[in-house]
Amino acid sequence: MIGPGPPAAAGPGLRLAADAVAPLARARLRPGRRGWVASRFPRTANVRLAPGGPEDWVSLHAPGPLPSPFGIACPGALPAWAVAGTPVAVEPGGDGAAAALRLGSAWRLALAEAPSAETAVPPGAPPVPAATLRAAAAIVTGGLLPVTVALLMRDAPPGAPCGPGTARGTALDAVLASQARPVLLALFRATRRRDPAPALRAAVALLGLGPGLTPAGDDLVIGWLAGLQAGGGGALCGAIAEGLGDAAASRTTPLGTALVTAALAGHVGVPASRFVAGPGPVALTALLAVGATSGADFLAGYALARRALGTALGAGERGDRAATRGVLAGAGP
Amino acid sequence: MIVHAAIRPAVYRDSVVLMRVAEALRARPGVREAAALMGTPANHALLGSAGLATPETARAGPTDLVLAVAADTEADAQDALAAVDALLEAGPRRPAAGRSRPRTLRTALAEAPDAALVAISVPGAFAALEARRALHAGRHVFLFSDNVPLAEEIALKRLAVARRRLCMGPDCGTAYVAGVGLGFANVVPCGRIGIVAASGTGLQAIAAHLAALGEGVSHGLGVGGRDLSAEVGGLMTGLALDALARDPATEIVVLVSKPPAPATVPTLATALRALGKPAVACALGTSPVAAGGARWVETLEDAARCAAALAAGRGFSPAPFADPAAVRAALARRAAEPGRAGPVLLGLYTGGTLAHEARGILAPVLGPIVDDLRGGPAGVHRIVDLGADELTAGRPHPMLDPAARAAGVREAGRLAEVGVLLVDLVLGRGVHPDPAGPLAAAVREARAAARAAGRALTVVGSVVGTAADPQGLAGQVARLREAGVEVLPSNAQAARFAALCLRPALATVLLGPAA
Amino acid sequence: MSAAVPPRSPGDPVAALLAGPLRVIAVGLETFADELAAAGVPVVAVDWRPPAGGDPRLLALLAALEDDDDDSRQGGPA
Repeated sequence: MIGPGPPAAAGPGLRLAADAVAPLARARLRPGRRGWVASRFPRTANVRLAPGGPEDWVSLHAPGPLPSPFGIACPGALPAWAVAGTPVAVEPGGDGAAAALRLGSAWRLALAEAPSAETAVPPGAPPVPAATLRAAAAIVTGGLLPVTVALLMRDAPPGAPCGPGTARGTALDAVLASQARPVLLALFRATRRRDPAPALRAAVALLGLGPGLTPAGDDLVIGWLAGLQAGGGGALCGAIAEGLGDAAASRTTPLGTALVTAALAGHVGVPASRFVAGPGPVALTALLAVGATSGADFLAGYALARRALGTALGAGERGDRAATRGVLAGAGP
Repeated sequence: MIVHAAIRPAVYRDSVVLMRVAEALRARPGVREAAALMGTPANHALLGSAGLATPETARAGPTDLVLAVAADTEADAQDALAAVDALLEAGPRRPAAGRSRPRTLRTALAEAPDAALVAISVPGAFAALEARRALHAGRHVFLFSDNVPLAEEIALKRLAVARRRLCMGPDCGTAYVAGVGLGFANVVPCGRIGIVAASGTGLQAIAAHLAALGEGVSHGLGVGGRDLSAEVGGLMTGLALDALARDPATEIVVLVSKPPAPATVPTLATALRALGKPAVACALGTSPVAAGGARWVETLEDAARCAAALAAGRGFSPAPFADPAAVRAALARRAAEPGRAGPVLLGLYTGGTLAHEARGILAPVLGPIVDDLRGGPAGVHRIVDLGADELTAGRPHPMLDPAARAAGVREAGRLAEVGVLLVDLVLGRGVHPDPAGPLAAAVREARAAARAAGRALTVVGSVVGTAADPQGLAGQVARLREAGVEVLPSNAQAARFAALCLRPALATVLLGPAA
Repeated sequence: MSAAVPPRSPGDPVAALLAGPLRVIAVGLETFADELAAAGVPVVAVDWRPPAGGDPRLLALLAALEDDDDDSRQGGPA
């Protein structure tokens, strides 16, 4: 039978409809496509559609702002039985567009009338206030935000929690920072010069680096790409796109590759795109709540790109001696 | 250190779970470090740098989860890994049965009315607020946080003194209270010597020396690095000295600090006299105050030796070296090394007080010594505190991340003018699990690089630590010696040895007539 | 220095602290709480987040309000 039918689990007469669909997901859910659940977490199911390349991913999420650039927001919790390996199919509607996503044999999610999620990186976005970056650095210990903020701001807060001479996180965090620091510096400098070859090298070196199912370095690169797109570095972004996409597969996880590919196409998770559009405290809190350090790592890459492109770190910077005396002040705007 | 690893192919857990798994592994008995990372090329390098790579981990690809632990013993490592699958299956972290963590200090204060001490290590911008809450609730404060504004510090300490509560810090890295070490603390026996410290590393050094001398610490009360400044005026030092004066377990009192503001010195001397117990004062850089009541010594080691002597009813007189014969032997070893030695001293320190002590000993002998990494005329002597704020803002402290100093050591091997490299090593709870390892490796490289260029590089150092510290003093000393470091029993002796290397004529003064 | 210290009264709070046993509330570094617990010290670890969303202006306001609050509740500093 063709067309949406009542999902078995929900009982007769109930229709599940998606709350929101990301544009990338909508584009990928062409009728007749099939795939499978690649990984399953309490509030997320990642789906790989055949043939399973970086542009063949979509994801299902429990209610809330979509954390993924190719996500679909479900109206309720995801069915518990939809574990990794569960088959997925896209059912056509009457007019040839996709009508519903089917999990397993009978659970359906109607797509046609769902609004689009705001996952596109808005160009010409406002700068990130220095105070916002400081507030984030005061909270986050893990991932790459601490070492990035230390590079960008001479008087960066020692970071939470802190102590005499700045005791931070674990020894592994410290090793991560040592490994990342020279690469971040190289990325900053290459971005400033709009020089594609070293920028690509540095971005590739960050892929796959650090903790997280999607490694911290991937999230940072995604933030960097968003910063290029929002801050006038579109040409640089275009110049490294192919090389980055090619390199990703061997450097990081398939999901990480998929997310980087989406960012190259100008899409990020909703908390990230909302932050880019309006980097205030509420958006910051929502961003930092994503993953363990995913949101913070995005912020790190985003701030690094914006700073390097010379669209300064926000109001008060002229009076912000710390920013002008930053480690990179010699290469400042 | 034993490193074991397991691979879980295509096991996907979200980042929060992975973080919790790593934390849970780290919390297991005997485990020093743990990682739960995807096996990407970049993470293989990370695991290597962190000493967590094994032939097992090398087989992991980007879709494989790598779980690695570094532990004290085989058994600890295997037990930790055996728990891994259960941890991976566990849901989001639930509070341990019966113990749900309060989300604010307020709640904790209400729930734990008999918790007399609040230990605060949140960022400086927020620390004063939390400390004030604790003091208003009638608790004592251990304020590990730094970057607390001076005005806040003064207000906090006034409040604390008015309520007769201790406010240890801000910027207090170490303390010993009622037999418990707080912050960066070495494992030392409880005993009869009480210490008031405006320097965390100073407290550590004295406590470790006391342990080596067979004595113990009753309490080590940190007051924070700025307490003896003109602005703060020693508010907390006064209260801490008074506390030790009244404490029945404390027989001898030691005061240690970097140079106090001149205005505080006379009142300090008076407070020491009023203790009613024998006292030793080591305020680095101050000439002894010629007034009765306390013995003033010039080095941290002497402070410990003097306190131990007072406790045992013995006399004390400072001596440059504990074992002049060993020093002669070390000098002979050095003379036998091929190559020219450069004329310049470079000190790379992780402990600020130790750097200061070394400068104090060496400046009269060598002339001007600059304290930063760059700048100054060519050929100038340098002693650098790598833990200083300007160098660590946002970066890991060198006591936690030895890589920063190791890089400096390697570079020293390439500098033709550096003939003597002076270093410290600080052990204890809360710092790196094996600080000697990276330093020893860097020293080997530096000395080899110098040798290859026809030069001789002498590396001298000391280790602050005790046998009971998690790192083990003897093992750490041995690793340094194997790498070619001349390890002296104290920082002061190491500095004097460095002086002998650069000014051989001092031998008659420091070593006495040749046997 | 000594002039600022009030005379000891029965139940000197500093003496009580030093006499032990020590019980701690730890705010901040998780390793602090863990190390203390491993050493057998009763410790309550606070799951701390910066107040006021980390906004320093809001924070200063909060601090000022709290001081007034504390003082009025406790009848001023002791």
